Amino acid sequence: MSNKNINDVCEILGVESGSFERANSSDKKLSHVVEARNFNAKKEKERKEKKIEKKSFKDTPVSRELSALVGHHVSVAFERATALKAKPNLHKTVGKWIWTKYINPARNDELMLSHWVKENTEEEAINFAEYNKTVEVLEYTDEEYEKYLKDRDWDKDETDYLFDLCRKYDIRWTIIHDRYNWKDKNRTMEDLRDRYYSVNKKILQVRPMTPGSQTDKGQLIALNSYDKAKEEKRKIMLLNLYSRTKEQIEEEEALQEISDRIQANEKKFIREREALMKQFTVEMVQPKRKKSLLSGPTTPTIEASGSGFHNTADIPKKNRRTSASSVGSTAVEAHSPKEVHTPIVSKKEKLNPGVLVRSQKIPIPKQALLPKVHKALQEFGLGPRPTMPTETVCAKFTELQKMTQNLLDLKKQVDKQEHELKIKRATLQKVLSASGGEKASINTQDGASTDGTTDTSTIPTKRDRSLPTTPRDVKRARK
Amino acid sequence: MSYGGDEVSAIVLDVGSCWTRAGYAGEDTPKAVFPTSYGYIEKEKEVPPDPDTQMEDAIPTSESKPIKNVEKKYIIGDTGVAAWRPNMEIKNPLIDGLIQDWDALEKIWDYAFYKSLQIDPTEHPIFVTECAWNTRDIREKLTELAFEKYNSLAFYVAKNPVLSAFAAGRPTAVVMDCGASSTSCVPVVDGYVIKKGIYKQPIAGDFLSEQLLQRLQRLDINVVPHYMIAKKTSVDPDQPANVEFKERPNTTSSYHKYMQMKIMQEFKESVCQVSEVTYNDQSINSRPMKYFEFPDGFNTSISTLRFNVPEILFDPRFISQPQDGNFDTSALLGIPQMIHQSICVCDIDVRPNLLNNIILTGATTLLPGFADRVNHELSNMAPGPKIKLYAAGNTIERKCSSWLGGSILSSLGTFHQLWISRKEYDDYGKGIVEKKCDN
Repeated sequence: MSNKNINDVCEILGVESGSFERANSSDKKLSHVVEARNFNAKKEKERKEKKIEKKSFKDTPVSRELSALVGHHVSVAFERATALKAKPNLHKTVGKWIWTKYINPARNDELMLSHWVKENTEEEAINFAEYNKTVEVLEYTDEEYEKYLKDRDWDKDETDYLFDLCRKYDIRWTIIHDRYNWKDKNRTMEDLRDRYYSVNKKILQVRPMTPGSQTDKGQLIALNSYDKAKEEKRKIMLLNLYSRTKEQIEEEEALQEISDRIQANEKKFIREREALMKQFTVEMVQPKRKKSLLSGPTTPTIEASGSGFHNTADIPKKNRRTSASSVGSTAVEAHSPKEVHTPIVSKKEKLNPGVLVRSQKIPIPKQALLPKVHKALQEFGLGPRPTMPTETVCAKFTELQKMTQNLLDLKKQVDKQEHELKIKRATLQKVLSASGGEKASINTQDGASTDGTTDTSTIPTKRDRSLPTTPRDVKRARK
Repeated sequence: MSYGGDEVSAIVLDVGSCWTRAGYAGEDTPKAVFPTSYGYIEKEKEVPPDPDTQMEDAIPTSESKPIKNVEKKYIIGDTGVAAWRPNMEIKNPLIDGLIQDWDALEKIWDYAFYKSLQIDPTEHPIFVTECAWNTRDIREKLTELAFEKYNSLAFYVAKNPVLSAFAAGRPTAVVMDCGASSTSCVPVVDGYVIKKGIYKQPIAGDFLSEQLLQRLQRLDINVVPHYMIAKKTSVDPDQPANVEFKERPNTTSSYHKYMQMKIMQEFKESVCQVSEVTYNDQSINSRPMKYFEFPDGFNTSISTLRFNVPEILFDPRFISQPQDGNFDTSALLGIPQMIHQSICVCDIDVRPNLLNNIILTGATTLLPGFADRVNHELSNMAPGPKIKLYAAGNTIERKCSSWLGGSILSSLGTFHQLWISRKEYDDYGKGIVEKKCDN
């Protein structure tokens, strides 16, 4: 039996493994006995502890083994399994319900109805009388009627009748209109409502406000104003809507569908046009930016970086390199693909079906620039594709590719500008040699132009110098 | 939400044209359901001469005949009515939903209170249902009956459609009730019946049964009720029945008819069906046939008849004219038309709500395809607004919806202020029912 096994057994039996070993190792009988006694004492002690700790656990036949396995942290589930269902309390008596008489407070007679009430409950749990709500309907005196409410069409008895009905049916007009039966008069619901509200309005206008009422008088009057003509018109329109035939409804639905489609199309069209416009504006802006970049210290980026250029001589070599690299990066940033491809970025990335290698996703440079880019990359010791195309590597590689592309673009621009400059200088020389008199003025012009030339010429050179730094940076990043 | 009920052990009594339901308020099914039709045996009984009274002496002098008192023995309850008795007539106390025979109604109430429920009506408030077109006279008589004869604690009478709407949990609805004696369409708004929108006609379950009986007789199928049959053996389909009849002397024609109608009821329940879409001969002919075995053992397959007859409800032109008289069908409407007209009477503002709450109730609406058909026809009639039918899935709820509504209403805590109490009856007289039970 290996030591480990012994330990396991000891653990299961709840014996300290160390003591077992000691017992094994000692040859003397006495020590054996002592040790054995020690176990027993220990066991007893442990048992007692366990008893106190987890009494319920002891009851089960597997408790000892289990507790050893689980340790002293017994899961809740075990405890629950051992707990018994609570015994019903058979001695407790059920609460009594008593058949009691009561009077409904909402009634004004002494009708004694009976219901079951739980013993010892003092009051009604729910007082249903509180739900006995009625709508307040205005009342008018004979005097008021004579003075203000006279109407050609309505006499007082009929008005009274109407108001009684309103009170009875809580101003439910459908029902009032249904039950209205006055001397064979055929009143429409609008007639009834008009009369009711006009009476209300009149009385509200005439009567002084009752003190303490919260609602404003004007508000009350507004609430009681009723536009009969408008209401009638509304109902006629509703009726028209109701009495549409199936064909009409179908036609309407078809029209609705068409209009929906048109609207959707229009939206799509606008979206497409916007995207197109964006692309256009970017392309329009793009050359301008290049120009502005190259045309000297007008743009703030160049101004900022320009100061850096002039100080390069004073700055130690290390610093200079970083500043140069920063210039390079700003220049690149100005042309960063993010800006250039804004409308294209908004488009969803085109995904080819099927499995593909990540390096396939790396955008291929422009056909015209492809060999040049590859050549530049070769200069940095890189192949046309990264050897280990992880996500970060690919991202960095794309960035690098774009940067080189931009550089090449810029270089092309610079070459062009330089070429133009040369031509212009040549013509200037010709002109100068032709006319010697106006030398001074031309000199100033020349100075200005030379200023420009130094700028334009320095930038590409800087670029050239920065060229190796950027890939180095990339390489550093890759590491 | 708190419990809004407050049971005061009211008794709800719903005397319908076919079945009477009675039970305690607050329960979901009536405790007692028995036929409203009752049987009676008239016995001519000579009044024993009583020399002590002057009256007895006086009358014979005025009339030459010896005095005869016709005593009616009432037989109420399903088993009582259906059992054969010589000379027993069967009658229905209601005509067109209105109570005509008050003596019989009293017996029905007696039976409900003392036999079925075994209660003392003086201890309970009594809640009675009535049809929507009930007259003032009948309502007052009911009130009188409840207080004078039964001395009830309190009384209330409510209209069937309102209660059916409550049973469906809706205060506003159109209730289409197609029961035994009449089909009615009643708009209910906020628990009030719109009286102008009540449409009813006597084309319902019983009418269908009669039509069926007529048509079967034309097909030379004699409908022999159970009570006549002593012994029968099974025969092959369409073979004449092999049956021995019982000796049943002095059977009244009304009893015979009643028993025949019971078979027709069974026939309707087992084979009849409503076409789900507008009736079309071709599609109906292609429908499968159904077998029906009559009580005498004769059995046959029923084809178009099972669609033709229920179609009467939707198109009254399907009514087969009786041989003797002319039955005017021009004034009759199909059920969807009734519903639509009933809704169109109401104000335009409540129409969408009504169309959205169309309740089908009454046992005849249990015909298969009934709700589908109503929905189909109605959506053609009112294509614009949304139409929603409510037909309880539970058969008992459909059959006893007005009782159930009464049970719900009269067990509400807020309802108890509406009862007509004994005191109110004493103070105002029977006319109070118009004032208090206005719904």
